Amino acid sequence: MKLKSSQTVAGFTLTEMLVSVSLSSIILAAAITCGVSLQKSFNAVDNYFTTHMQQIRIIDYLNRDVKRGLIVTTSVDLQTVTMSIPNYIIKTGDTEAVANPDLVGTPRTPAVSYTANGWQVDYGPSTATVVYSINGNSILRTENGVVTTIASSTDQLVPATTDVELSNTEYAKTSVTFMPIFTLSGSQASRTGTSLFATAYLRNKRRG
Amino acid sequence: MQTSTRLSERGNVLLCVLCTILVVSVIGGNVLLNCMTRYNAASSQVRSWKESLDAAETGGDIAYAEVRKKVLDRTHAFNGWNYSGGIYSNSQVIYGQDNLSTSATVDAFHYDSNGNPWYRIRTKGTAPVLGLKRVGMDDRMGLNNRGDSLLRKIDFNYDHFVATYGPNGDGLNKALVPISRPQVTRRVELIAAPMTPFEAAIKAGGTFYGLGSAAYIDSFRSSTGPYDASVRNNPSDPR
Repeated sequence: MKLKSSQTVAGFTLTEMLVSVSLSSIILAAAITCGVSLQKSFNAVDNYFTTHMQQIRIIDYLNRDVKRGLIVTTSVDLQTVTMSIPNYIIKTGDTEAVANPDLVGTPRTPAVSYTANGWQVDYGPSTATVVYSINGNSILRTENGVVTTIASSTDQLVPATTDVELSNTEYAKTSVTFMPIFTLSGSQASRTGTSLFATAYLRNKRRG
Repeated sequence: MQTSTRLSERGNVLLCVLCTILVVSVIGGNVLLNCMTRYNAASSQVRSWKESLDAAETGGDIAYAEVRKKVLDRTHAFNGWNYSGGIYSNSQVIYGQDNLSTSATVDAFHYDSNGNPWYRIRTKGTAPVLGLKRVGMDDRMGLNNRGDSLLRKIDFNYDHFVATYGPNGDGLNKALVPISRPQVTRRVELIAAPMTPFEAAIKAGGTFYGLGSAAYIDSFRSSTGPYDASVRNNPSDPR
């Protein structure tokens, strides 16, 4: 009787081990590097578009107020914009709202009068004052003292607005830039490349 | 007799592959979710926000055309519009591939000293927001928050405009009206003021040389008949 055992025990030589460990290390290092890079890229792109969305919001806010405004004034450094807008909407505390609270949020009936500058349409006896300004990393919109943060980013959002007066109207040119976080050099070109431009005209006759 | 012993070493390859696919799928899904959220905010919502203003202004154009007919083509002015309580209103107008919709109300809110009406045109425009109702919007504003709905108010389940201001934006007939798909509604108001074709009764383009005391400048009201020079100095008949 002959017993045959086919049990084989395979092993690796030292050379095989060195080669395999080296290759594994390279592949692992590449995978980790790729993973970290992808994560950084994702964060950068995510942050870029989040800030870009805030750029658009600043423009939308500003243009909406300019279009319905009566006069727009910008500061010397172009970073503070002050405008007067009619009180189109009845707010809480207004005379009409005290008489009938259901009118809050509804349009106000205007009054027409003839002045030295011609016919004038007034929504209420006074106008609202809206100021756009920068406070640290935030862009603020202040309407009659009530502050709203309309954008906030560590990417240094900077809106710059220029108002140009015409014979009986006015327009405001605005650009909003920011500095993306993944920019290594921090050069001015990096900021310029993010510029978003807009121009809006008053739709009311300019006053003042 | 021959006995054969074979050691079999089998790994869990299938399990490893499934786990890898799961991990990669979770990562991919997360990336897609983030991308969709950004896409919805950056494209669909911003576009709908601007389209709704365009729709509202279109409603203003439609209404203004009717106001102009009041002067130029009175018989056809506001044909097909509803008239109730001194207010004209039209049915919803739907246009464009995205089915933008607009409606308007017009009323004469003021008459000047010559009896000419000043019209107030109130319109609202609605644009659909493409995509799913779940958009992962961030309502807060701050360094780590996006404040997506700070400016752009989007209706997902109910028409907030009708619920808050009523269908005509005048605070009347407020109701909770379900909507079939997400939408944005904006409103505008414009004033149509009467303009006389005559800037003034008499206008000098440059220097004016009068004829002295022998001359006079008079006017007359044509609705009372032809000009009568004899009444020019009669204060009781200042036509």
